[in-house]
Amino acid sequence: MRQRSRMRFAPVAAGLVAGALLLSACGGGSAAADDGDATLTYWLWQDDSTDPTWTNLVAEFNEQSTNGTVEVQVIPLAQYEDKLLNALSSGGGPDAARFKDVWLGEFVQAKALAPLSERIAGWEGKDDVVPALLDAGKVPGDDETYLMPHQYTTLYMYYNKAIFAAHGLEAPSTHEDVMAAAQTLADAGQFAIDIRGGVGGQDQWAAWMYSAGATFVDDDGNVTLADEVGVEANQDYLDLHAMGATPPGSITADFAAVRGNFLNKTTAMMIHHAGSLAAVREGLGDDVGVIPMPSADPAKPTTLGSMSGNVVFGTSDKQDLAWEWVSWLLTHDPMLTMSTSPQGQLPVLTSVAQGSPFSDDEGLQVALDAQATAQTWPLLPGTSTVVNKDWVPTLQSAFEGKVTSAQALEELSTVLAGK
Amino acid sequence: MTAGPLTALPRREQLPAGRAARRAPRRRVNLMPLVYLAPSLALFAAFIVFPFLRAIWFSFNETSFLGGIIGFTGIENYQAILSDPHFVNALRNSAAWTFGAVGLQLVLGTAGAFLLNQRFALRGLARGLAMVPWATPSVLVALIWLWMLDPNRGIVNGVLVGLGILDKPVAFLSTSETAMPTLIAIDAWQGIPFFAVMILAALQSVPQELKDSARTDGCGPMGVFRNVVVPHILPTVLITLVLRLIWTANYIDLAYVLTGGGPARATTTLPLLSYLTAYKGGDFGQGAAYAMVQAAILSVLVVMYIRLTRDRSA
Repeated sequence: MRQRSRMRFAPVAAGLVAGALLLSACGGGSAAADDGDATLTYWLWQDDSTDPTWTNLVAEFNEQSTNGTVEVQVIPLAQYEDKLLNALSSGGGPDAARFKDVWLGEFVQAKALAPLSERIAGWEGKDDVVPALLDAGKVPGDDETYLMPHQYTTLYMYYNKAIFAAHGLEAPSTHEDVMAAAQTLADAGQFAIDIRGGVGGQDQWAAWMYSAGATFVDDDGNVTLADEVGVEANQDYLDLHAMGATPPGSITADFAAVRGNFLNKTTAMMIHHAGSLAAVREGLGDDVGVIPMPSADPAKPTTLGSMSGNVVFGTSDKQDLAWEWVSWLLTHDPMLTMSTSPQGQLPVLTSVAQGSPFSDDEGLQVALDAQATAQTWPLLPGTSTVVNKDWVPTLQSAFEGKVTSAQALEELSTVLAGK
Repeated sequence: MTAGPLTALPRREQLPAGRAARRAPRRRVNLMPLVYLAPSLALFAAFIVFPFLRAIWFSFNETSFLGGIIGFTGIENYQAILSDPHFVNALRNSAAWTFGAVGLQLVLGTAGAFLLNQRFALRGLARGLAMVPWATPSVLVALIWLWMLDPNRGIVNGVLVGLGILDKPVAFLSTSETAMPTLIAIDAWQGIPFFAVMILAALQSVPQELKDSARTDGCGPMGVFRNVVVPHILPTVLITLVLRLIWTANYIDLAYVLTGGGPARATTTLPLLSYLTAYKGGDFGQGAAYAMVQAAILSVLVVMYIRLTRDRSA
């Protein structure tokens, strides 16, 4: 009996030892860093999961690079930040990643990102990048640049010319025009606009607030969102819902619902960016008009600008290859390819923005012109929390009348300030 | 069967003389079962015990955005829960969600089980089709209902308005008053087959001779049901009920996909609040504290489940 037990124990023990060795191998060292065999892990989200542009760009880079190759992992945007947090907190994660500007504050505070200023200073392509966009990769109180710009958007307004004409309306040119048009359309039983109170709606709202004259922070970095102008601008947004100018479900609508309503002519206006221009034109043809965000003060037009770019993680042992990849994406041909792809936004290179199709497309020109006066979300400690967690329930509470415009903004201001 | 080299008892000559004399014949500890269980125990420790202990530790600490520990804060995260205006709301939502959804499933599932236990044409097909909602992946269920309930283009509003039952479309998932009842109805739709099948299996195991004996003793249909059928299926119903309560209390997929916890936190349950606090707010310590409160509440149900299954196996 004892002999039999020993014979059974031997393979079990051997299996355990083999398992332990396997586990230790999994957790152990990495591929050769920054030599010709290095493999860079790069994470990204796709705005259009069927579009092969990113895959093609990676293949093109891998073909010409002598320092290593890029391996891409595509993660849906809805889970992107969660997975990044999980991976980084357990000591893993990618070497470099596609990244949103609003995430920057917290990741820099957590010292997760590699500073890039020194590399940028010695990079010959830097003069072609729109200077303001290169600066958007910094956080307040820190001179380092952590985010290499790649694509950016400025929010503008689409309107349905046919619906406006049918109700005797002109294209709105001021904030007041929008409110008046919304009331006219609502009175006629035509929904005017979606307020997009669901996921992602904070950018549309921020564009509305900025164009209505609200400010998020003053020059000293104090949060000013809940001042008189802000409360009034937000009240106008809430009034769109109260006056019946928004379709059912708008207070929880995501972009798919908003776009569907505009393309189906359920609504007559939509706030978005150039990323939807092709689809909107395909759906509505000549009926669609593109106009800058109508401002409260036409002499001071402004809107929200947001940027996606690339970061390199401080823990990566392939910093040189990561830099080679993110700076290669900022050369003319890859930039043109990405910006003109189905998921393309506005190019951050002047040489691309000044060429076709950007220079000769009326809609894209509206978006490009807005860049000069666009404002971003302030990169405060609480920005990411507001954007990811608190904006949706707070605004929904205001839409339902559970809190006032002022109370909602005070709540958001507290979180923005990181209190 | 023993394995000498793996014993860890003191040698007899090391014991005091009197004690050694009093000791019963030496028992050797057989460690082989532990060896065989080691892979499972290792996985259990790595994926259940360690994360659980880590979550407990997090709940007593301030954490960084990336989940690192900044410093020990004692019970501060728990104190913060008491002053959090959203906590009571989440607790209330959790109770409504859990008991509402499971209660509906119990009632309708039981009715379905009795229906499927009758003899009728194509009964096998009906039993198979009844399982379709249960077998459908949760996210797919959420998307199906999202499209069907769309207030502008969804089939539900289309039919209700078309039949004149509604004057205008209702945004079922977009108003605080209707969002939670809608989620409960959808979860009930998906969970009823589970109850129905479990109770149906119990019904089919009721011995026919017991029912015949009861009838012989003068019981009518209700008497047979009350005195024979109910006592026989009750343990299964209770175990299914407790299991389903635990699952439903922890289940956030449906609310997350359909409402994101809204509108205005009307469908934010305690586990969803924990997730949103940790992953969307970057506060893992506070999120862990919410999770611990949830675990404490659910431990009551877990104890009930253990007692029920122990009684049954005894």
